[in-house]
Amino acid sequence: MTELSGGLSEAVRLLLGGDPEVWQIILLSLRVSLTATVVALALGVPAGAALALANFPGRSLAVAAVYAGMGLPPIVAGLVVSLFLWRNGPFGTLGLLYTPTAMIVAQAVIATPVVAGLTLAAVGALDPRYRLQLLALGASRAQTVWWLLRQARLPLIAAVVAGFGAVISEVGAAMMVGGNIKGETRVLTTATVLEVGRGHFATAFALSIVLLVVTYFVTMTLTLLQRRHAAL
Amino acid sequence: MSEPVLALRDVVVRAGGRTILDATALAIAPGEVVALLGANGAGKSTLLHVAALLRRPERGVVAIGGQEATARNAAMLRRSLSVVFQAPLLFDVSVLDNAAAGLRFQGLSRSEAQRRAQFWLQRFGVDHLARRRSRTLSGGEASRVALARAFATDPAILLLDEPFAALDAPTRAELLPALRERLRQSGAAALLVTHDLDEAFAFGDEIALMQSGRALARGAGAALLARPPNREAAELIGIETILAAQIEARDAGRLLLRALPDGPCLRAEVPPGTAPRTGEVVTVTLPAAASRLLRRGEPAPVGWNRLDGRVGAATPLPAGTRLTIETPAPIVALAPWHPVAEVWVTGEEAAVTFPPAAAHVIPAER
Repeated sequence: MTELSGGLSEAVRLLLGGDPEVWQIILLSLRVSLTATVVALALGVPAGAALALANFPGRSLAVAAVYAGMGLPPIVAGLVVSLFLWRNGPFGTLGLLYTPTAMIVAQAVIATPVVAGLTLAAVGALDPRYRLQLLALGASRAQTVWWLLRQARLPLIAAVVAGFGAVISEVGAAMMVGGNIKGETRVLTTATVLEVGRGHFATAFALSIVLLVVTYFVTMTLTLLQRRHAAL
Repeated sequence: MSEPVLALRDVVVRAGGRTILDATALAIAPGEVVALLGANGAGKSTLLHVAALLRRPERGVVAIGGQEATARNAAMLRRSLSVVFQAPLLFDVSVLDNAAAGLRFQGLSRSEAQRRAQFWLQRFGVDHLARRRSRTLSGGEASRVALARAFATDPAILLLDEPFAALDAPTRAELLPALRERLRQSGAAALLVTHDLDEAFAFGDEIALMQSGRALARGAGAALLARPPNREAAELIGIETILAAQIEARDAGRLLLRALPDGPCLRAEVPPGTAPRTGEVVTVTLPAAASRLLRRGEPAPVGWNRLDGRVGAATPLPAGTRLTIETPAPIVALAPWHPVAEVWVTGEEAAVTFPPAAAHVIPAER
């Protein structure tokens, strides 16, 4: 139990003490995961909307692929991205492996199916007559999609939370493509793994608490946004 | 005659291997208000979706303002019509932005769209709600906003898919005349899909009857009630007394008929444009409101039919009591409401009386 109490006081010290190394790790975690979430939104929302609204050959196959992708193990995503970015891989010349950019790519691969799947579900759950109503009012295709997404705004915020939650908490891909290099690609989850490996359970526990607090604040902000919309 | 604002010709729609609209034809003139009446599953909503160019029929032609709809011009033609569905289907924005949506899609500036939308919100008595979010509205308020949104684009025709079905009776009683009045003022034509007989009578200049994907008959409500062209139309327009009868004799404009299998006998007028022959089996329809009830021994007016029997089932209604009089063939009649309750006891002797003109004869199809 000393690890628990020690971890708690260590966490408070790390957060409030302004330890530059810890703050650098926190900021990198946020930068990587928030950027990956934004990329996932940019790709996943249009993809999910298209799957919900368009009818094309192979649609059900694509839907199945998206839903399967929602359960994609981060370690697999990390491995695939590694293979692409490996020095001898197709994108090896870019020299991205073991950089935050590589981590963003891997996390975007993880979050995009989550966002796409939840967008698909959110838009698919709308009364189909909304679409007819928009068409009848003379909306163009783009206007129809935009108004339907706005109509599904609340569940879409849930998609953002889920996407961000999936990547801020994953360790496999960050470790594999980032390499957990101190000062460069070390994020909260990989740092925690490292501290456990070293036997520094209190520090590991403190980092976990920091991760929890960070995740809590980000999702809290999004949830408040959702509530505010719901209450209006 | 001016070009119909909406015309459907030989429209066929199939779904799941079933034909749900079959060679349906319908034309609505500018400013004409038509109620489309049919049971659930008759194909009314499908017809409305086809008319709104939201569903392409397998066969047939839809023309809006005389222009035949194609995949290319559908979006452009849709601008001259508005659709109101059973649910208000308001968007999660302000009431004003909802009412302005169609105008915005047509490319109007926000301020101009809002100005026109505000005008129609005011006409439907909901302008004070303009700044509210649509999801905070009551059902009646939301329906008014949906109607304002439909009128705001100044359509040549409104297509209404049971817009009042989810509303309570008082709200409906308020909204229906309001809608009629706005239609009259704007000069827009309208097609209202409904399964409610009262609503169809109250709304439509004409009622179009539909069954199993086919158009059965069309005409003013009173005319359909007096002279339904076929048995199905009679049932749909709410006539409960429909008898099979044989023509016993014919003189001048009158027929003497015997209800099958064993009476009673009654007189009816020869329907214009028909030549029924003695011995022919026909269908006789008699609207409930056309009959009067007589006590035992009470005389019938001269020249009227009088059928004696006993009071059968009695159903209280707001307008009176619906009674079945068990003559050899059961006749449904309406005992109008009266402040001094006229009690009709099941089993007591009674008679129904009606003028020959009230009984409508439908010749057998040849």
